[in-house]
Amino acid sequence: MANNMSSSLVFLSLLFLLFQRLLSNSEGDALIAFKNRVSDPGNNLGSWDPSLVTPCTWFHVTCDDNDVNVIRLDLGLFNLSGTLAPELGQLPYLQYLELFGNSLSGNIPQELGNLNSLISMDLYDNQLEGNIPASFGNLKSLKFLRVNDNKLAGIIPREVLDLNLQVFNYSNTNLRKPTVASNFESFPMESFANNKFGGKRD
Amino acid sequence: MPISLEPSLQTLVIALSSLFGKLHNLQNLSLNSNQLTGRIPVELSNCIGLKNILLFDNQISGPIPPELGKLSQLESLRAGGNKDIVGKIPEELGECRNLTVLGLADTRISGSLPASLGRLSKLQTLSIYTTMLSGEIPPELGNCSELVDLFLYENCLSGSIPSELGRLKKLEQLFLWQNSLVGAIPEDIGNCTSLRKIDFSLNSLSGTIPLSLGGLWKLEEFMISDNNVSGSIPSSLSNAKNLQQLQVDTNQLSGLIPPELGKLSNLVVFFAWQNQLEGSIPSTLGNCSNLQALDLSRNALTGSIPAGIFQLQNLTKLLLISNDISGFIPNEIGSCRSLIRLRLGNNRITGSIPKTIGNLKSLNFLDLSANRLSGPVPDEIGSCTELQMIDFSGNNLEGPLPNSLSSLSAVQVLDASSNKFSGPIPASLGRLVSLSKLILSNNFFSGPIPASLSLCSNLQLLDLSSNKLSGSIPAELGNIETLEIALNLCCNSLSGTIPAQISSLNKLSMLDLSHNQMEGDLQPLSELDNLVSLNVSYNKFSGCLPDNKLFRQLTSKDFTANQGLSCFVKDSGKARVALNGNDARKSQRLKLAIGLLTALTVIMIIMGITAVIKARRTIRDDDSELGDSWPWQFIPFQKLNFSVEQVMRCLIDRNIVGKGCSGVVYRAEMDNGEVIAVKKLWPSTIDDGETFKEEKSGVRDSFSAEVKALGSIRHKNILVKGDFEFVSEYGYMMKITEKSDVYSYGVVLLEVLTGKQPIDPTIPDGLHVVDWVRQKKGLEVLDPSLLSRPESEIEEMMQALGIALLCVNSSPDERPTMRDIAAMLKEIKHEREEYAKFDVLLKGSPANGACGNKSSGGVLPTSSSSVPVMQTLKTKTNNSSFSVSSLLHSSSSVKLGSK
Repeated sequence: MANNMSSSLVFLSLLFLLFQRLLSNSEGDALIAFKNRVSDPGNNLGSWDPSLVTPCTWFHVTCDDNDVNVIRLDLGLFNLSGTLAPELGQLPYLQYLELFGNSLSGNIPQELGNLNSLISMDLYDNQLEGNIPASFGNLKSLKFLRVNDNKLAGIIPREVLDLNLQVFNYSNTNLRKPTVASNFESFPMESFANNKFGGKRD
Repeated sequence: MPISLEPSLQTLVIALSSLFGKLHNLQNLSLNSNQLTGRIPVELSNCIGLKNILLFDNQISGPIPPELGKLSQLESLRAGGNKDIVGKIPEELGECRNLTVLGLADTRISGSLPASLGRLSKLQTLSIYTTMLSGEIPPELGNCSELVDLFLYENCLSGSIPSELGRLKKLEQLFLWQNSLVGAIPEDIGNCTSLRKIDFSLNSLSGTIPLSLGGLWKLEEFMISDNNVSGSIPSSLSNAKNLQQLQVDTNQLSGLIPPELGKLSNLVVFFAWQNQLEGSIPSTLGNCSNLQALDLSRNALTGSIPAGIFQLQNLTKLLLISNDISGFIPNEIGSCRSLIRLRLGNNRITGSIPKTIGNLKSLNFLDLSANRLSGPVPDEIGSCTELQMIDFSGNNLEGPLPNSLSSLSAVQVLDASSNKFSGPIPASLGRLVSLSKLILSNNFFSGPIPASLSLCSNLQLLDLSSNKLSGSIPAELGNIETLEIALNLCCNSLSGTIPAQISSLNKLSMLDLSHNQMEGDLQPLSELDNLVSLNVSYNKFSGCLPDNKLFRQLTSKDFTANQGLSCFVKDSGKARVALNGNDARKSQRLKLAIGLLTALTVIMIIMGITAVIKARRTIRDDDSELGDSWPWQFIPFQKLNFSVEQVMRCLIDRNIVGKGCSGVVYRAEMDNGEVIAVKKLWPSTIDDGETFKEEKSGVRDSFSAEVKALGSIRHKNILVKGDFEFVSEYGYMMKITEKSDVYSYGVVLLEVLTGKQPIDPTIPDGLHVVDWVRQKKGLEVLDPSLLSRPESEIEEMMQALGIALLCVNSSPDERPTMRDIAAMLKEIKHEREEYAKFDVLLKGSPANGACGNKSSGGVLPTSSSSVPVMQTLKTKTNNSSFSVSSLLHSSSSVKLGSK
């Protein structure tokens, strides 16, 4: 019952947003910004026409039932190259960001940490560099995070490790978890003075 | 004689101030399109002969020097494309009476346009777009009688458009889009008889479209999209014979579309969508022979689509979505061979889809959704070979889907849902190799699901729900590697079992098989790692639910009405048989359990039926030897107000409140009135053979599983008073490792040090003690009663706190092993040996460490908080088969100093 209530509330607020959203095409703009940064030899993004009211009729873009908000971006295995546009972070309803198996390079924009609704982010099998942004700690709905087979490197931010992920794959990257000792960071050094801690743990 | 400075240097910092000071005869300074940095030197103003300053497209920063106003010969000042030029436009520029071009676009110029610009009587181009200009457009600009181009778009200009602009007889291009302009478009604009292009889009303009526009016979573009302009589209606009672009969409326009617009023979684009236009679409639009794009969507247009429109041989886009258009789709549609995008969705169009649609060889996007179309889809559609998107949904279309659809090899989305289509799903759809979404739900399709659909190698979404499909799910569907969005087969008459191959769909997010007659078990679904939503209710599934994370997270609703589908049991065999009888009552009981358990204070783990029986007897007889001589150990972590015996007594069927994936939960009322939940774990390996022996070993396995589970659910549920969620406890499940019980230890340690319960009313924001300690970083987390202890002890407590935080690391891999913890605690202990009294944290006398406390009503000396957990570990390795891990909420009396 509570579910029904809340889902109808959600529905109402979506309706309410509908009119507002129609006035602008910010999600479309974000996707066009993405498109502009990648090379698309297969012309898979050919249907992405920025003059349309919403991106909901573009291929490989899925909107919610009201055709208002983008909830999926399925661009796996499209031979895309180039970098990830920070504007992708402006898709507040996005649940699935599937960009695996391309040749995307550069860093993962920290703006992707704004994707509050994200359930799955598949960036695996690309040429991405740098680290996973700590901003990913905001992705509270995220269940699947696959960044494996990239050139990512560095110590995975604690915020990311604290996520309640169902799947987190970072194999074949140079990412690593922080060492145990770093857990003490939250305490002043004085708290550990006059000890012999420094040595091995695990 | 004129002197020019045109450096070929790629990079030249403007630092030549002293030099400029002497170049009195310099006339042209052309430094544009380099990578110059630095500021515009004030000394430029000494070059009084300067006529052209071209600095655009560099990386120059800083303000425009007001001293430039002294350059009375200056004709052109162009500094656009320097993103770091800031500050206001100096009023003094109004003194440059010979200025014809002022260009500051794409800078960070701010402030308002100085009225003094109105003195620039020779100004032809004022180009200050994409900056941070604010304030109003000064009416004085109307004095710049030579002005041809006025580009002020993408700023923050407010106020209204000054009517004085109407004096600009030479004005050709007026671009004010994307500002915050209000008020009406001045009627006087009609006096600017040279105007070719007007763009006021993306403002907040109101009022009506000036009738005077009709007098602008040179007008090519009139764009006011995204404003609040009301009234009707004036028919006089048809006098602007050169009009090519008419974009008035997203306003409040009402009334009819004037038929006179048909006179605009040069019209290429006409956008009027998102207004309140009414009446019918004038057939005269068919005379706009150059028309390429017509979008009248989201209005209140009525009547039928005039056949004449389809005589337009250049029309590529026709969008009439969301109106009240009725009547038939004219047969003449076939003559509009240029059509690429045809969207007539959400109207009241009746009749059938004309066969002539097959002539539209360029058609890429066909949207006829949410109308009242009837009859069959013509075979001729197969000729529209460019089609990528087909949306027939929400009509009354009937008959079978034509086989010719299979020749549309470019189709990516085919949505025929919510119609009256019948017959089989054409096997030939398998030829649609580009198809990514196939939606045929809510029809009367019958027969089997064609196995050939598996050839749609790009399919991401397959929705065949609510049809009359029968037979079993073809195993081949498992080959569609790309199927990631959804597989919805619900509400059909499918039978048979779930093919094992379905387990290959490891990217699938949503699976709905509900409301069919399927049978067998759900094992093939256990490997669908990406599933977020699953519904198999209302089938005849039986057997056990796969024991993996997803299944534990799903609500019972997703499984309802499946006779014989038992709750989470790892293996088949006796355990399942035992459960089946209780299924009907199970969900009710679980609900009851939640209610009952609101008063709940504790979780206990009690193992092994035979062990229990034995234990009951022995406890009564022999209190002191608990431990060695027993087949299990009783290891409370905190003070208990009840005895094991009391617990045992309650393990009878009458007290069962529910069954979880790892055991039966009993409601147990203690002598002191406390109500606790007791979970008895399932034996996990049962054969038909020697029950006793097998169960004993099974007991051990399920014990370790439970201990792992406990660790991995972070104890938030277990420790919360009045917020018990047995059913969803696995919702929090993360990776199970042998480190998970270390977490429990960390929590206990934190409880001891802070004197708080895991969820404690004194912790602000309802934080868990773990999160609270992480957030605070100092002594303030310690139990206040401990703060009076000597400093050296407090230091040790902080060290222990550090260890506790290690233990509650959210990543199990990062948690230390108990061996490491012991080593670390020993380190603290070493330091402290000389402090005689304070041996609370670590030592705990060996005598009472484990379990010698039963006689005192289960009171465990609080000094041994670290010991029991280590012994629990030992218990595991010793194959002891019974343990009580009780984290009793009510025993907040556990405090370091209270001993």
